[in-house]
Amino acid sequence: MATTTSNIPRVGRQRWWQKYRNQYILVGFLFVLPALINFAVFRYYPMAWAVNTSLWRYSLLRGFQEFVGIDHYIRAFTADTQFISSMKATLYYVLGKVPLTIILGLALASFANQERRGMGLMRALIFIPVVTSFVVVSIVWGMVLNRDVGLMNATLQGLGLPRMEFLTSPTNVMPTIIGISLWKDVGYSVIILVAGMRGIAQEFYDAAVVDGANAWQRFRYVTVPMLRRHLMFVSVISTLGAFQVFVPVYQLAPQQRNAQVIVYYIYQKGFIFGEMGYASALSVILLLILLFLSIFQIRVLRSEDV
Amino acid sequence: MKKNIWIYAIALVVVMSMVLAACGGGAATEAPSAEEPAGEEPAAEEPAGEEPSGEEAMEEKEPVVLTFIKIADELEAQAFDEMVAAFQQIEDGKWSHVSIEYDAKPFAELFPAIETSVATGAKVDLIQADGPDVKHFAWNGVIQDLSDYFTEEELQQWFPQSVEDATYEGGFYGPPEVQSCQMLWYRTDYVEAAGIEIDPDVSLTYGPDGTGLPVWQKLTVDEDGDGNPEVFGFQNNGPFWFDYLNRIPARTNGVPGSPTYEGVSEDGLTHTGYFDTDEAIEAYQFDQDLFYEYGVRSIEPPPNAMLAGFSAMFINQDLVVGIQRDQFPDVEIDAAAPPYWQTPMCQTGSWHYGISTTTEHFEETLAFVKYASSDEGAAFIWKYKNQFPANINFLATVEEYQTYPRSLMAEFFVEFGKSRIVSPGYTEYNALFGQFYQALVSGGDVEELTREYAQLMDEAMAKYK
Repeated sequence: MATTTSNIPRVGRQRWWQKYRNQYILVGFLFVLPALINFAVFRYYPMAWAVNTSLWRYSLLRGFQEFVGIDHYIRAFTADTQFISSMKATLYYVLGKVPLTIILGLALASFANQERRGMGLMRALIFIPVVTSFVVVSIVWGMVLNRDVGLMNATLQGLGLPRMEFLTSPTNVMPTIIGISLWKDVGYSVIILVAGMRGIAQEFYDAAVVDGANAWQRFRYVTVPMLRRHLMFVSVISTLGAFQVFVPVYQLAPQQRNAQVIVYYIYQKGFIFGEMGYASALSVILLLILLFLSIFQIRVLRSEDV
Repeated sequence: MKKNIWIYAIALVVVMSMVLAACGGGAATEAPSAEEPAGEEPAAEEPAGEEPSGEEAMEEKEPVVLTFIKIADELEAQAFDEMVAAFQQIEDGKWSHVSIEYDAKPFAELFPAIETSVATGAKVDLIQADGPDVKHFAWNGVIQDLSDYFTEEELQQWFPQSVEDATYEGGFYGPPEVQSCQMLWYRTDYVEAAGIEIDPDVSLTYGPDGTGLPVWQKLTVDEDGDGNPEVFGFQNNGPFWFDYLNRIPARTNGVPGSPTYEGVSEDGLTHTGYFDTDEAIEAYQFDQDLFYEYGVRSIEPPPNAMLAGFSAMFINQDLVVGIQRDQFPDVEIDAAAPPYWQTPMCQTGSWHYGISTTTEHFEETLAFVKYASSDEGAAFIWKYKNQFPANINFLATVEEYQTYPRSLMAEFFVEFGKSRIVSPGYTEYNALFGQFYQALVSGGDVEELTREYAQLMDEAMAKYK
């Protein structure tokens, strides 16, 4: 009996707590509901639509024509050499841009994190390209890099160097696009890394100084490890963004086969070649690649946390 | 407390729903008018009420707003504003209840925009179609066959090239708005300085032994001797490349009726044996040599290369006259018949009015299309856009085409104007052609590229078979 009576208030308290918690969760859920609706309507539904479309011969003008099952996927890997070459071009871009974004981002963040006069302006200058339109930036870079009348080549010639075909040479076009994208995007990484650096307690550096660490050693053994999560975030975001590069290729080198990255190829197949079903299949393949990469990167991050 | 939480939660959901609804609704209703505000002006006019056209016209008619997907062009928008206002007055105000709402897109986005509109079931009545795309839209059932609505006599008001551009498998899919044809334009100051005399009626010829090369070499100026000319002798398009201008030299290296000249098989679906003939390869090789071996042509010309003083001669349509007047009034230019290999040719560049298969206002749309493509309608386009009219009688009334150099272009068009390759897969072909030509400009092996791309073009056409 005593046991029973002593249990009553406990159960009652648990129920009250559970109710409170449930209500709390419900209210929280309602707060995120608009975002979820947005995701469902503008992200998940189109994804599901793309998966369905990829199984059909479908064009925007003629609609769904014939169910082809996984034929489009088989075609991509067995018969479409342009898909393979566009994946290679994309990989070239990713492998060129992501490491440079991290290295240059880290270097610029270290520079921009200093408390000196004018550093606010420097940070603004580094970030300005991020907020400018990539379309506009691409046009301007196209003019700057023009072989015959561009500022860059005039400068090279002034220095006694030969003129370069930045955008018209099949070998130079990709490094050029990587360079422009890097200039455009690195500021975002810098801001993330500067924020991370600001969060590192001064005590760590003081202790390192006491241990006799020089500037490089403090950077290598204090700053970099403490920025691990920020660096991982930057690498994940940069990788996802690099796989989806489109604007600079569309603006600067739409006819260069060596610069035909996967998203541009998907655009061309869907909108110019009227093969939206096949383009959807390529999009699904790209989605799976990005999902795999993201999961892999997040796993690496978690394993290092342990 | 519990009650409060629920009240807040419900209130939050309601507010968020209202915000979402407001955002969504606004975007959907505002989008079309935001594209081109000028185009809405006629729609704002009081439709039937103001017409002094008697009892019949005063009848209450439901206002009809036609949606017109077209290229974004400020001058053309003004022309249509005025044209629509005039259209509302014709036939005693019979069409005064009709107005037009524009969905204007930049040229590069027009084709995808039309595709998207069709796919999403957007209400579209009228489509402005580039000549070669008419067949593509016809094949896909996007625009209607208007053969039954235009008599033989009506078809004869336009140049045969324009009618051919709009014809697919015997059906007539849309009357023309304008036409175009290329000429060899040149800067008179550069030509005079080089001591060259140009006979406008005699075309220069392509090829290592042609009459064009020595002229272009003479016009190429490298004053500081750094190997990078300040003025290139010749230019034909760039830095992006298209069939419209860059296929012409190769096609002129064939005689009429030959695979090289026709450019594609009769059904428009086979390129091998047409794109990669020996004559075509010879012409493409010479094109490439103009960049590298002879150094008379820039691989990356800036916009308005000739008018900006970067090249002495270039191939273009007569739109260059308007640009010269507006932006380079001090530059003096002249024109001559365009160069060729064996057969003179300019590729025609018409734009057409296509009526969407999904229109719910066929009668009104057809009436507008007939008016817009008539001599009267063409006058508005000419007034603002200054582009070569497709209407034979109207052209005869335009003074500029009676005098040199535009008279020369009109004559050349009539005699040598030839449609671009006739194929329902022109868009795919043109995209591949651009890649091919870029690879050529980048110094690739011409014969290998030509054969490879003929194959790729055939593959792209497979779905039409």
